Amino acid sequence: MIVEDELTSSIILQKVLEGYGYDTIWARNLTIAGNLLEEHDVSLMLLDINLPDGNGIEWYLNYKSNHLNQTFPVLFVTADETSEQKIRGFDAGAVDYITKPFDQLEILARVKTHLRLRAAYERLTELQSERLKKLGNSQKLMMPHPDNLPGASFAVQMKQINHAGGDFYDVVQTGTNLWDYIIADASGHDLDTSLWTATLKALFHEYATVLNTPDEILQLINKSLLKILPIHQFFTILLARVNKKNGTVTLVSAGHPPPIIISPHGEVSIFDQESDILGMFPNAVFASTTLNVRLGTRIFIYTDGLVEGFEDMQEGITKLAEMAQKTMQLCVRKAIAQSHTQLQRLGSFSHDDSILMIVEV
Amino acid sequence: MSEIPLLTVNNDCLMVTCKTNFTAEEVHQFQGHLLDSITDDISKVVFDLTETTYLDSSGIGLLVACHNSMNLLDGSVEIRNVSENIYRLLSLMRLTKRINVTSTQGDDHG
Repeated sequence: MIVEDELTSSIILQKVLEGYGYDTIWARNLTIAGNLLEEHDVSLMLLDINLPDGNGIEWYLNYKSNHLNQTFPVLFVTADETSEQKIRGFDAGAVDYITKPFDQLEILARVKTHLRLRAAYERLTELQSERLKKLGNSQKLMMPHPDNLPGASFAVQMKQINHAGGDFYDVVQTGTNLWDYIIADASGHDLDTSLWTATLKALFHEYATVLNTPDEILQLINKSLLKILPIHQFFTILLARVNKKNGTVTLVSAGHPPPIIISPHGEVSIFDQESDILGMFPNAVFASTTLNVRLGTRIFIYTDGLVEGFEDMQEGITKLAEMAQKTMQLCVRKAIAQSHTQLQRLGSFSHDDSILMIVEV
Repeated sequence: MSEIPLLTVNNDCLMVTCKTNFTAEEVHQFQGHLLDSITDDISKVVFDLTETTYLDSSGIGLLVACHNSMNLLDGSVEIRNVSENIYRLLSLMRLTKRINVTSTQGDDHG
């Protein structure tokens, strides 16, 4: 796109660029430029600074702040060669300058360079996205699908903002009638975070046996994580052990949002207990509760991304508890889908990953 | 938009004044500067969260890492003027039992 009010200058620029094989669009002022940008996908912009309806630099600053995904490079066109003008333009985000009177070869060289740079940047972004997708797929493979563990009687819904994240769940049969369910949230949002979940999975599978109580499992994982995690890294975890033989559920929390228990008659209990996070303190104290439950009891466990989008996280937890009650008559798969959808509709607009798991006893 | 906390030294106390967001973006940009500021002369680090409305896991990770590091040096960390929501979050993680946390309601714990 050429944004230039002087007819002669605009014709020269068009002829030079079209002669080389580029397509051009011309806007004689900023208003027309703005309108054309809504209709056309622009690869590069040559933007005059002094235009009849405003200053090109200020317009570009304003445009960028309202279009955060804008990626086309901008080259300012000006007769003013002063350093001050150039610095203003570069500060605004311009990648280069073209000064009048024009030099045909210079125009072509600068445009070509910046188009090449843009193409390289886009390819890099594409490659990064592909890598993240692969990592995300690998991460998903680490987490069991309910269909593959029919005896575990659970449903799960997961949302990842970036392809790979720090939210994690796993389910292990630790005894004939004993199932362990874990939901974890790693601190941070870097790529490293998703890699630590692989470590957690390995540790969980090592320690989740009938020989260890749920509290002991978390203590053992904590001891191992203290040796290997970076100083700022931690996990919050909720571990639920369901004993189908004697009808008990043991819940152990490490700084995690409270689980919600719904009885078959629809009575709601929220287990809000203070507990240390995992991987930070050698003398960590976890909150543990064992309940006798009836057949058909449901346990809702989730990560904070599901409820922190509300103004107050407590409000999100209350809404989730309400949804858990309302969906009691539905099968777990429909219950989880409806709960998730309704929460989003009610205002759960978190920028974080989230997991919701329903375990039915 | 990133809001880097302000660091000031007052005798042996390092004051960290946090802005509206204390999240991964801010932590990433200022943790190096924070570490450089914790010299041998510093025995206390105070985080002022008066203006902070959003604290994420990266921010919490930095607070705890700082607490653990200062503990090893026989120093201390204090977190002041947290909002009710942030206080509840830190309580859930039992951090109010380990670190001196003051809420804007004036509760003193830790």
